[in-house]
Amino acid sequence: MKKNMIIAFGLSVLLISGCATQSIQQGKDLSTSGIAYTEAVGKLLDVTTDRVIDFDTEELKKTRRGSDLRGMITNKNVAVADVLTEIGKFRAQTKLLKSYFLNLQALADSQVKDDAGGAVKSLSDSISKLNKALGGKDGKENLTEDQKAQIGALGGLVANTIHAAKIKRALTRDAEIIGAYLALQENQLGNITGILRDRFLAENDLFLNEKVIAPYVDKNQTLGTEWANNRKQWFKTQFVSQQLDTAKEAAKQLRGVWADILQGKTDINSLSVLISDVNEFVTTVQALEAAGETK
Amino acid sequence: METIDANSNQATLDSLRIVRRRLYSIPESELSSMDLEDQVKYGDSLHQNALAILKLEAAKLKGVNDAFKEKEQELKTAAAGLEEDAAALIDAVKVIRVVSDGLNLVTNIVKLLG
Repeated sequence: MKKNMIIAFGLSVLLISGCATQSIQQGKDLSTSGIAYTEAVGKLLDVTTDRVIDFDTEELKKTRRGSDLRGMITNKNVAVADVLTEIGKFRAQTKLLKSYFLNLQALADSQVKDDAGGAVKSLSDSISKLNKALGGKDGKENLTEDQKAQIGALGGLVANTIHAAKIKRALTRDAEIIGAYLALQENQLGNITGILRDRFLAENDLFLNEKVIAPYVDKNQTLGTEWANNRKQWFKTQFVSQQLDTAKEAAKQLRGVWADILQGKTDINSLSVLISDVNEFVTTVQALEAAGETK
Repeated sequence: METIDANSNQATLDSLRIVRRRLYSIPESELSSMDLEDQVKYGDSLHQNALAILKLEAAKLKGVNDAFKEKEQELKTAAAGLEEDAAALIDAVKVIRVVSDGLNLVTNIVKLLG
């Protein structure tokens, strides 16, 4: 009798702990950083698109001294549109990544027994094709040696970790695919923030030359409140572009978050500070634009 | 399709962006007082330089063709030379003339991007 009671107690403990493990797996956060990152990048792309267009419009005014104005504006329209098309493609790719994380989370939360995770697999296939298009030969040609080595190690991270079977299948299949894509995304984001930084610096130089230095050296001009405000604005805005580094850093750290997820750790939203910096940058830029429009 | 050398392309972009900022540093008031011919050169040079920057930026975000790939190093050298020449000059008119002459090679290679 006593033996039967011990066995029954043991089985109960096993049952309770089994339920608890399943609950932890289902409640595991696999997507917070990925989603927050893709949303911040989306806002950054909005700002970049506006900047590229506005800057080019101002530049067209400066080049209006040239010899073939019709040809110039036609060529510029095509060239700007080409850059915007590439930014648009990057935006679509970022949305694909967001969908992947959303569906991975949905798979983790799914109550359906033996959920095959068809949506996650389909997104993984699309991202794999994207890697081949962006990454050159073998999808990794455009990556650095460090990036290649880190991606190569990702596959092994899943093997000995505790995941629900359906999640383990998906993560084993996608470890390198998503890892490679995150590295390519990081490189592309570097290119895009490079464009944004350049426009910022050039605009800032122009502002300094035309609104601060030129009136100052012209002794016939009276220096009023507007000049003083312009000088203050130049001081304040010249450091804004430094915040752009956080965007690329966030992209890099997202690869670390992916490695954590593969190892069975919960996404604790470790990117929140970096992402909040990116969002702050976007807000600052929008405020500056609004201030410029009211001048 | 060949992909571009990211470092080489970045160096070219950096040089052309510096040249643009050099052209931007010439005040409007000084430009207006120049000969008409130099003003036209300024407009054309700023335009060609900006166009080259936009095309290289687009190329960085996507693959580029093989013909461009062959000329990539030549472009990098030409852009670096342009940057150096423009930086060495103080007189605005001389800067405009040097940039105007030096941009020909750059724009001819960038045209390969389509």
